[in-house]
Amino acid sequence: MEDTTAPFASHINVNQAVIRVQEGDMESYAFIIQHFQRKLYLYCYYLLKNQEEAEDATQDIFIKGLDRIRQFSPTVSFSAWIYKIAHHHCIDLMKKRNKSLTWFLHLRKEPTEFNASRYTDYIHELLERLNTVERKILLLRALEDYSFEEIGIIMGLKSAAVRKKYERLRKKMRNEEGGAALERHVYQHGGERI
Amino acid sequence: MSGMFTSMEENEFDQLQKMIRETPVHVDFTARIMNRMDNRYEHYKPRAMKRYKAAWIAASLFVLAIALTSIGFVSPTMAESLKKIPGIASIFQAAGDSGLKTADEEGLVRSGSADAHQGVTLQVPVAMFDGTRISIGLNRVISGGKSSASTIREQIKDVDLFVDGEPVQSFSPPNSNSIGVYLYPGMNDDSAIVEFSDLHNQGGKALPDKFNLSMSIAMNGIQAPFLLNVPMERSTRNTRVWEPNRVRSLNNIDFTLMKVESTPITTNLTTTIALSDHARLTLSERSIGIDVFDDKGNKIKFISGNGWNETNGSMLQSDYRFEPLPANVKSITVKPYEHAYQAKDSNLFQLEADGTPVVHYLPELEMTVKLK
Repeated sequence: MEDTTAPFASHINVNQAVIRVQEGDMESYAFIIQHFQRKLYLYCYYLLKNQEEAEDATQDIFIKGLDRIRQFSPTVSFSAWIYKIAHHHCIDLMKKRNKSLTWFLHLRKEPTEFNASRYTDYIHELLERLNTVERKILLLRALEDYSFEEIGIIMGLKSAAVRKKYERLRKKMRNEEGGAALERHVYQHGGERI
Repeated sequence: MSGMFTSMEENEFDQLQKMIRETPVHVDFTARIMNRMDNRYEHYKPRAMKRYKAAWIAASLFVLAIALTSIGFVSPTMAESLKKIPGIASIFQAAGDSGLKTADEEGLVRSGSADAHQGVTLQVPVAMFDGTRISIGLNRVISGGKSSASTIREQIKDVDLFVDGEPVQSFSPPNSNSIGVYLYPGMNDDSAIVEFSDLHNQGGKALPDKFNLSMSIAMNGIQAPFLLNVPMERSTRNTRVWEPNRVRSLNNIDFTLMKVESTPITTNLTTTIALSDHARLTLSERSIGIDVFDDKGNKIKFISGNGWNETNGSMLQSDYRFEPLPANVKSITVKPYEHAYQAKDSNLFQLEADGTPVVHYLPELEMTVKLK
């Protein structure tokens, strides 16, 4: 779905839809799905590096969201709340995977219904420079333009820590950081910078 | 990691974010999700908790051993007796790092406190500081002998370190360089090693010989951070230091070996790469690495390192840490190398079949330094 609604108007509509679903109007959940599905799918796709898994994950996240929607209170935006579910869901999926397989998954050309594999391969390759936490921060900034505070809420980090990590990932993407070879060696020895 | 190490300007970084946002994809899960609503609970049947007897036994022994361990230096006698208990003090033994193994065997280790939340206990059975690096062994014990679906390294979200109550980054240089904290595998899924070094060779403050190291560790699935303390003391006084300040040049590249620090646990080499014409360092120059060989031609195993260059700068300062040098070594040979890049894209590393990058030594920059 294209984002054609103005942010303020869509915010109101999402909030109204959430209240309606909380009151038992399940059909209003369709509006919520339509509003978030594209970006949530891209979040999963660029994290999981697999179209099929991302499709399943997106559906599961919405189902989990529906299961828990009565627990939602507007102390945070519904958007941040659903991304928090996505964050934890993707963490769980990544833990369960066979890592040696996923290591090379992005290299495999996958049939995509939007015939954009080269486009996404390019993005996947650039994202490979980042660790998982950095990749999530970049995706949340790129897809939803979240503030550091919102990303902190979603990922369970302090906003100052998110800011620090964002600055570092930006530097990393721009390759301004010295010792690229050193970090690469560390990775090869099973270590990772935290 | 893929071999993708392209150089990216600021507007390209913004462009990447735009490309992510505007990925040409159309998805519609609405009907599928709405159809799944009625039978959604079938997808959430609780999985049987996996229990591994061996893991449970190891965890039990570990708890017993920790109860016997006092905070502070482990005496060689105590260290020896602890080593007989499976699971204790062997994180350093199993790390694949001969320096840490030596520290463990020589009793040059300390132990720290433990903290527990939501049925998970985090402990510091071994820690070591030799003046060049600090290594902290962490062990996770889950109550009731349960095992976790995730390794401790996967569960650790963030580590904040404090030296006598001051954030460890207060020891960083006044520029944008920062102390890198690394997480390495331990002996199993429940253990890991946190490691960092001060940047005393890159303008940062040296850590004191004796201090209290406190850690705040955030773990996925656990609300409160784990607060741990280790009373650290530099374990080796006999650090040998050489400052060769030897320079080798290739075209406009000046490679300098500034300093060699050797302890029974670590060998630290401080180098600079400077462009004599003050040009801006490119990716290939920033990616120059070094291998180190002893006087018998044995390659010394690399452990970790930190490098920093000013944005658009012409000099890269690096500290490389390797395993300890053999006793009575008379000289070392430093062989700088550059990476080979792919023909189809000059920004991509060529990779060997095992995924390691292809490198070419630069004999013009090679040097042998006598250690007397």
